Amino acid sequence: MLDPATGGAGMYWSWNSGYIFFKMEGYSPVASPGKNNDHKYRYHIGLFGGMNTPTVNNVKTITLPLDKLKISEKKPAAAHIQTDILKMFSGVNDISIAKNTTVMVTPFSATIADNFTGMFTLKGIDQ
Amino acid sequence: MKRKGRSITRPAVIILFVLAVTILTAFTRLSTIFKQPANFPAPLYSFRDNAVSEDGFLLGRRLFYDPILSADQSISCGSCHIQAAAFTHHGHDLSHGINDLLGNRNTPAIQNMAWYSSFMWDGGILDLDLQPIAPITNPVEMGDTLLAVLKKLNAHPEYPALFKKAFGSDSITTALLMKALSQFMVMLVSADSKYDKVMRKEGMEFNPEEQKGYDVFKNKCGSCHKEPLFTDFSFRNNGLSPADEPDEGRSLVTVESKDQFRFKVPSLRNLGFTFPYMHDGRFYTLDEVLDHYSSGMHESSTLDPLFRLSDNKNGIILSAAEKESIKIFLATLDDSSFIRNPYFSEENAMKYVK
Ligand code: HEC
Ligand code: HEC
Repeated sequence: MLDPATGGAGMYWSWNSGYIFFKMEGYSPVASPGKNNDHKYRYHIGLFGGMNTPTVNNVKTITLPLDKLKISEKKPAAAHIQTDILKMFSGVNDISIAKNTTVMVTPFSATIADNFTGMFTLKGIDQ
Repeated sequence: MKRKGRSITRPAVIILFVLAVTILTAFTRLSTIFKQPANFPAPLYSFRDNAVSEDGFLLGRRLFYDPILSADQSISCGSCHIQAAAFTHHGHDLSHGINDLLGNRNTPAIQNMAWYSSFMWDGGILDLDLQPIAPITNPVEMGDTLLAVLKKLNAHPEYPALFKKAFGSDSITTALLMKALSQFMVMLVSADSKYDKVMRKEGMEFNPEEQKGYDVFKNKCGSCHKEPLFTDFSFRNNGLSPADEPDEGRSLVTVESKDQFRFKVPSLRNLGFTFPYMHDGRFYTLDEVLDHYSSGMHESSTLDPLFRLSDNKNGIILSAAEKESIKIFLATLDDSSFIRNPYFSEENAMKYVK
């Protein structure tokens, strides 16, 4: 399990129990100025569907063709998976920093999460 | 048709019986030192995943009172959750943590946590074992990081051995730290008030005044503040007027406008020790609370329907005499043995080094 102390540090919401799956922050002149007038945008995408009360469920299952990957005792094998971050803005849905500068737990997070499905491709297998 | 298995032989029955008894004892051994009061329902906490042992409890108690869990080693869980105040922050409307930073909510009591289905005023935390991460990492509470806390604990002269004793491992992890704290917190059971003794028929009865108050209470308050825990664990808007910087409560978690200004119904046990009241500690006395219910309701779209009276008025109809009765009844929920129990005390916690 991902430990909120180490691998999951900064990727866990303590006040709304659950992991953050995807986090992207930065500055952009088109982002709304915000309290500090620094034009910072923030995308923290999480939400797993809830335990007692249903919430948005942004868990996505992605299947990559790994059938050619042979794992043997003798030789280590590696799969190279490429992540196209740009797909976050232009996958199934178009996302605009100007229109949605901060997205965390709102239902709009689902629109962004839909873009994750096309983000990963298998680039090759070493074995 | 004749049933085939009709003639289960005697030895088979005995084996089954022995098996059942073994399973049962194994099950009870899982949570040996936690006891369910006879007038309480079954607890929700998963003792199967975290059996409470004496060593685990003592370790959890020590951690709860140790400021090592905060960034500048100045604040412990017990700084805000004080036993004499039924584990609330006595007299403080809002909690304050390291560097005197103010939080935005009133510290709730830690009592009967094993029966809770969610934690915090807005129910954002889903499991008691996940609760301590919030104060430890909150910049206005303990202001630390889990990684730093684990480093401090692992390098400590005593803690690794105490974890070894409790969990069989001296490598202190997030999971074990959470489990130890939960073992202390689930043991904080308050079930020895006069009310409990009356309900359990332990040779005590309500006097006529208390009985009258109990009847009014059941009628006017009991649907939300449900016996025997005095909460139904739901989230409701009880008509508090929003503060200048409004705390939206439950909707911060669910992002649903119907949940705006709803908060978890708090237990009413130990009110004599837990003032001030409500999520922002706005009321210092029970008189203020009762006046709020009878004549201080703030109208809003999410106000609980139970407060909607006919003729466009909101609130609970309470006469002055009924208010006095309710107060007399509420006093029977004060459990002084809970706030004085040396088994839960800070003094004994810090002595626990072996
Ligand atoms: C700075 C004061 C402060 C400190 C330190 C603190 N708490 Fe709290 N605690 C609070 C406040 C305030 C709340 C309610 C917060 C909310 O609802 O948003 C709370 C809520 C809780 C609850 C939930 C109770 C309920 O009824 O839902 C538990 C359990 C708890 N704290 C345990 C702990 C533990 C364990 C520690 C130490 C790791 C700790 N607290 C440290 C102030 C504090
Ligand atoms: C419709 C549900 C409902 C009813 C009926 C109700 N309450 Fe409450 N009560 C709540 C909620 C919700 C809160 C927490 C509100 C907040 O802090 O935002 C609360 C808070 C309180 C508190 C503060 C406790 C604390 O620890 O801060 C007291 C005391 C209280 N109620 C007493 C009563 C009494 C006495 C009655 C009957 C006259 C009553 N309530 C009727 C829902 C209800």
